[in-house]
Amino acid sequence: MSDDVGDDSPTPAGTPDAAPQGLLARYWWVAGLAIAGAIAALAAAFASGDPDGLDSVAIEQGFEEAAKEPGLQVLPGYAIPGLDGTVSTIIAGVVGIAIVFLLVFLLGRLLARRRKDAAA
Amino acid sequence: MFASIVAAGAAEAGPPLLHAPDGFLSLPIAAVMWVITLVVTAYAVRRTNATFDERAIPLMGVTAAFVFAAQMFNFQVVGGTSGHLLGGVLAAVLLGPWAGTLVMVAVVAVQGLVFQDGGLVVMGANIFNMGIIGTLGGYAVYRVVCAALGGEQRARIPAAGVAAWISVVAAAAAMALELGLSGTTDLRLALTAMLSIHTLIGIGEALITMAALAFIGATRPDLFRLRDARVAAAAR
Repeated sequence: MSDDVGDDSPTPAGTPDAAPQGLLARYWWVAGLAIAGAIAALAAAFASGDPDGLDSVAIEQGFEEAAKEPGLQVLPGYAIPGLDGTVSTIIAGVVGIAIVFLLVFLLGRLLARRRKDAAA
Repeated sequence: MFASIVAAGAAEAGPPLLHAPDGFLSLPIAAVMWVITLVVTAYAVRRTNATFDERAIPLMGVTAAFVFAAQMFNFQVVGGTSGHLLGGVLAAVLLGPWAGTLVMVAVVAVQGLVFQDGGLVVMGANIFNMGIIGTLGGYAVYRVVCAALGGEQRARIPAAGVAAWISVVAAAAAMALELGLSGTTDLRLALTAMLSIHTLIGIGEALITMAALAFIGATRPDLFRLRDARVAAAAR
């Protein structure tokens, strides 16, 4: 299986496209997750507390009371119960990043393996 | 009383809730949106299954993590209103529309199930508005703009910016339409208000999407090729 993409590729052939070598290059996704964690931490500290687009329209037009309380409460409001402030939001953010990453990673593995099984 | 003080404190400490809660849409509208979202998601699973290159798995996971984190970051727009990234166009540019759709489904589902951000009954609508509109509609716009500007290699960043802005405005229009058809509020008022604020929020979407792509282009441009590798594997 060669790495060249066909003539219909949007990228011209011959473009240097080899992935960088080395440990850091190979585990670049750890750096990607660290960036996501840093964004969550910055969000915890500096994000605007004002209602977002939909929320402010709901308030302005008086239908925000239509909102129903969720029946199931796990980590409501991006906060860890019993903790407050920025730290609580940072931990909740890291938990969310971990769950989303693992979920999508496993989904990717599942779908990729099925393709191989089908081909075999 | 103590509980209400604690609740108020917690609400102020964390970022505001972002997505439509249950009660905003009527049951028929919520059900229709669930059906559309489930059909598109099932098709996205099939297409991803047929074309997925396993080298793209880490990128898929990191994209989901980034979209989740970035959605927490509400940026100030105008007088007392904030906005946040949706991320559908970014996910589709990096992963293609189908794997990108699965990323958005996962993010919105975790937000609703774990963080009570967005109701479960209206989750179909939230996934459609914030995910599928960007990953399918926004991505189609992206391809058209890329073609018009002389190819993806040259036009990736501006085309993604245009598509990102349009995806937010389209998401706002869809949400307004669903609210109006549900009888929650007047359709025309909802459309006017949602569109006017989201034309501004869309600028934030465009800037974050372009910055993320510029960062990848400067540090790991080979990641852009993973989506094409996927397509090449499918063609074989």
